[in-house]
Amino acid sequence: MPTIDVGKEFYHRLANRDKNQGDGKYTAIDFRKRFLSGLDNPEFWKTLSEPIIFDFKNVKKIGPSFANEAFGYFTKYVKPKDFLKKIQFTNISKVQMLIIEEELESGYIGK
Amino acid sequence: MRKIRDKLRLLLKKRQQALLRKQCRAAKMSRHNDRISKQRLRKFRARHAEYFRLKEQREYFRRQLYRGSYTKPPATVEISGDFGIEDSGGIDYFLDRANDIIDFKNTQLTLTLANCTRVWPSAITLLCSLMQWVELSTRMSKRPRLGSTASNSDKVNSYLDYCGFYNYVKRHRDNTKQDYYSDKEIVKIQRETLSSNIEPREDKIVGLLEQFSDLSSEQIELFNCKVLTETFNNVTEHGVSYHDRGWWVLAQYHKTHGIISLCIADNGIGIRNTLMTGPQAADISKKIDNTHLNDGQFIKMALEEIVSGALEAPLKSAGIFIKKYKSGAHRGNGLKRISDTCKNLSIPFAILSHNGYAFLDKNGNIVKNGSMPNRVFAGTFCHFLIPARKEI
Repeated sequence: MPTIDVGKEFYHRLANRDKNQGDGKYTAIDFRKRFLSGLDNPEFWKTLSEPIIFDFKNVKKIGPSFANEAFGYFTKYVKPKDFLKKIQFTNISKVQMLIIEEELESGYIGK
Repeated sequence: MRKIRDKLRLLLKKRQQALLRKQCRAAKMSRHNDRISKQRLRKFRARHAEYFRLKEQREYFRRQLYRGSYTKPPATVEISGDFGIEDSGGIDYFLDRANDIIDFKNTQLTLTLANCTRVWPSAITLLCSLMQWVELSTRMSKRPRLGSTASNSDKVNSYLDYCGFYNYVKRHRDNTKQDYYSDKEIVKIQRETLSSNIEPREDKIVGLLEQFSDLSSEQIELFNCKVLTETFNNVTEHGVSYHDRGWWVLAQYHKTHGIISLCIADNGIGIRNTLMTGPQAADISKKIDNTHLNDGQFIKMALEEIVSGALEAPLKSAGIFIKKYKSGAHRGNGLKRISDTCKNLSIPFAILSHNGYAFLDKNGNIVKNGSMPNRVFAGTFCHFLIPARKEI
């Protein structure tokens, strides 16, 4: 499965949840529709498939709202640890990974 | 010759007819497209009826709120000593003065700064919110006059110019010295006219932190990703943008005090009004009465609980024992994330919103929380006191 260089193919600043936040561009909703639209059904998560890999080497920052809308969204189908088996992150800083994990957890338990 | 003329006439006539047919087809296509767009919009609005109802309700509320009336005789308010919330000893005085200033109803308001010895960045931010409120709530012909006297302290006069405040309120400059301050130690306040300004402003703030703060690079990254991002998301979402984007920033390194004072504010309808004009209003009103004297409690709730005034905010589903949100993405965590991160980084944090205020110490405990009879800020204001290198 090819790796997606998020910073180059999307944007280096992942901050806006939707068009109402920030400058309204490069939002989490746009990200999800562009790279993760095929995952928006429960059947995908039941089948074995190659993981999708996001390369964060050109990403300057990711905000909690973005992580919640882009990744935490899918906790309606799957638990956080199963999500991370199908979606993997490379060249990501400790802080960025922490933010994604926190949003997966809070999205899953409804908090 | 006659034959050629006739042929030419016929050719021109045919071209005109062809052009007319083309124009008729284009007009027909345009009418068809308009009809389709309107049908789609009607269906979209029907599917999201609740969202549009709340949106119109909030817009109506905003129009009612931003109506100023200034009929009382001219008044003067004296500001003396140090003015700002950076020093914990000055908080009560700041709240008292803000209570007098923001909701003034006079045709002219003059701030007497003669005995003012220091104007902190938080005070500058407060005065900008006053300016924003007056601009948004009145027409030019009915606008009250705002003015200030110079301070006896050269440093105060110099700072008001240096930090960008005089530019912000379009005041003429006094002939003050500019030697006291360095451009490297500040992110100046300015009118934010472009939504794309956020990223450069964030970069300047991070640059200030990297140069002068006591935070490690990982801590700065955490502050940038969580606190700055969430705060900017809030102010850009809630700021009212008629004259400019409706938000502003001021950050200053104070070397003798060993702090960086970071102020981020908007001119929105405030936390209480946002929550009570959103989809979660019914649930929230069961816990707190919707009155301006409870603004402080609404701020406390926003800091401690998962509540949101966003128009797309979800509702908790009724469970057997407790209500909770369904799994997935949802709103309502923003202020909680900010306060939790500030606690992890030992950064005191304050939030002022209309009549209410909450001050948290570096351990994340709310040390001061309440409401004043009048507004203490015309919008919402987040203030961070980041520990920095001290130079004597």
